[in-house]
Parts: sequence; structure tokens; C-alpha cells
Amino acid sequence: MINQEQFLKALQERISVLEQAEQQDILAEYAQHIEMLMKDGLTEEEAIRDFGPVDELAAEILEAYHIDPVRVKAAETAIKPKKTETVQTAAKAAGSGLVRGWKSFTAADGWKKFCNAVAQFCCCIGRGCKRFGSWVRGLFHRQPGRETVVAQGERPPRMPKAKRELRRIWRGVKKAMKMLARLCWNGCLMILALPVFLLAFADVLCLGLLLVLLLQGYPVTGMTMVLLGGLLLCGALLGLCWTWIWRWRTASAPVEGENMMETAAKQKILWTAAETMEERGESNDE
Amino acid sequence: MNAQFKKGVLELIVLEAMGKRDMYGYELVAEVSKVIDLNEGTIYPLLKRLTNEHYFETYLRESSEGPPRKYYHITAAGILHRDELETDWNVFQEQVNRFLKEQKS
Repeated sequence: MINQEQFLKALQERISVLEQAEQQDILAEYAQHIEMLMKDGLTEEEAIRDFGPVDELAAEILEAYHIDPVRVKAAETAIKPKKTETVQTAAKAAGSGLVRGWKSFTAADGWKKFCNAVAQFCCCIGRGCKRFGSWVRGLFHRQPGRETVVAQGERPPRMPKAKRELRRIWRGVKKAMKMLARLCWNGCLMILALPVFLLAFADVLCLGLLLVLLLQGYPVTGMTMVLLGGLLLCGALLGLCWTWIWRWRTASAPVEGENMMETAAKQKILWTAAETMEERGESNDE
Repeated sequence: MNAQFKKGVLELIVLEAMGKRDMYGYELVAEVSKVIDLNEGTIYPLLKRLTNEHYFETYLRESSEGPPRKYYHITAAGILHRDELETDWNVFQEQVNRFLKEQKS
């Protein structure tokens, strides 16, 4: 015995990885379908039974979104390795190296063994450092691979609060430094470009004057050529400055580019489709 | 009928059914059910996917009975895709039929 509400709720639970709006969209469709069937004379239960098992239906929906339901489940239940554990093992590794080194030394089995133990100890320390380093790095960086299991519309797993705060502060500092550097760099460029610009301006004025003189028959051809060359030089320098400006690379910029490409592609499809439709229409007319 | 057959040809049928006029979900499901007998629930995910791939557009229209209905409208890209699928289907079924005939003779 299952009613519409139960069915929709069960379905929503299984497609909860999707975005809220999409979920509502889908559920509304199914609700409408059930209501229509009931209007056509079926009972509520029969209408719902028409859809088959909820699990299969949900799998079908997720498949349409290119989401593997098995992987979603795996991502939900995946156990995150504890960071403190890695530190502990690193410390243990270093500690065991120390103990082993000391033991072999007291055993007085000769220098060879002692050297061996020292080497081992160094190795352990090195490994410990490496692990500690990766742990520290893990504080600031997202681990690769974790995002890959996150399905569409699903939030990545939350991290401890302190770590998130640290990361936020670190990101803020990084951003501020970058901004400052960018400001300095662009300011310097501006200061460098300004005299060039003024020079170009003066160049143009002089060039106009000389051209008038040239037309009146004065022997200033050489001077005019020099000024023309100067103008080209100024133009080239300004162009160089322009390419050196440090632009803010926002996350939206490439997306915009993609969108533009997408829309361009769509436009093309539309055109070709319109053409084919016209052709169809013509052939139909005949 | 073989479930895989139905699944394979469902997209073409849905696109073709939508070609004549705009329909809302239930209407389309009923239309498709005339051709292929299948679990009606499976058509909605397909509609969703085709909408996400810009082959369909949706809009709401008031109805005399009950809440407004979501209508589906085939886009130019959808028409193009439909024609492509149709050609594919024709070629494919011709090849299969020819092969079947050859095997029998």
C-alpha cells in the first residue's frame, strides 16, 4: 500500500543528489502523471504501480543526468582518511627508527650495523617529514580526486571548521598579495607608458606641421621620415605595454568563452536547421 | 518485445511525436505508448535529458482543469537531431532486414 505522497518522497530521497530545482521539476511531472491517470479512472495505487520499482525508476532518472547511481552511493559512504592518523604514523615511523638505531648500537654488532641503523633512521625521519609536509599541504589544498566523486548539484563533504577558517584566511591573504602586486605592476607600466604616449602626441603635431611645410616646398623630407619612424616606435612601445598589463583572471572568463562558443555553435545549428526546414517545406509543397 | 529494442528507438519516437505539435508530459507519454508498450515512468527522464541537451524547450500554459501544465516544444536543434536519428534508423533497419533476408535465402 503506497500512496502518491510516499511514492514521491521515496523518489526524492533517491534523486537527492540532483539540484533542488531539477528534483522539483521531476517530481511535479510524476505527480501530474499520477493525477492524470487517476482522472482516467485508475486508482492511486494502480497509477503508482505503473511506474515499477522506485529504485529502478530513480536509477533511470539519474542515468539521464549521466550520474552513476552506484558511484553516488559509494561517494556518500566513502570514509575520509583522518589527517591526525597520518601524523601519528609519521611520528611512529620516526620513533621506531630511533629505537631501532639505539638497540643496534647497544648490541655492539659492529659499525656496519650502526651505519645501517643510522641510514634507516634518516630514512624514517625523511619519510616522516614528507608525510608531515603533505599533511600541512593538505590543510591548504583540496585533495585531488575528492571532487571527482561529487555528483552534479551535490555539496562537497564539509571539513572541520578551524581548517576552513584557516583556508579562508590563507586565500584572503594570497588574494590581497596578488592584488597589491598587480596594482604595483600596472602602475609602473602606466608611468612608463605615459611619456611614450605624450611623445607620440607631440610627434603627431610635429608631423602635421612638417607635412604642411613639405607641401609648401620646404626641404624637410628627412625630418618627416624621422617623425614617421618615431610615431611607429611609440605605437609599438604602447602595444608592448598593453600586452604586459596584468589582467585579472576571473573564473567566469573561460566559462564565458565557452558559452560564447556554445551559443555560436547553437546559432550554427539553428541556421542549418532552418535551412533544412525550408527545404522540407519546399519539398512538401511540391 | 525486447526491452533493449524499445529503449534504443524511444528517443526517435519521442522526437517524432513532438514534431507535429507541442505537448505536455502526459499527452506525450500517451502518444508514445500507442507505438511502444513500456513503463511510462521511463519517458520522463528521457524528456528531461532531451531538454537538458536543448532539443526541447519547455513553457507553462494554464489549463482549464488543475494547475498549469508544462509543455514541451521541439527546437531547431531537436529537429536536426530527429532527422539525423531518422536517417540512421532507416539505414540501420534496411541493413538488418537485408542481412536477415540473405541468411534465409
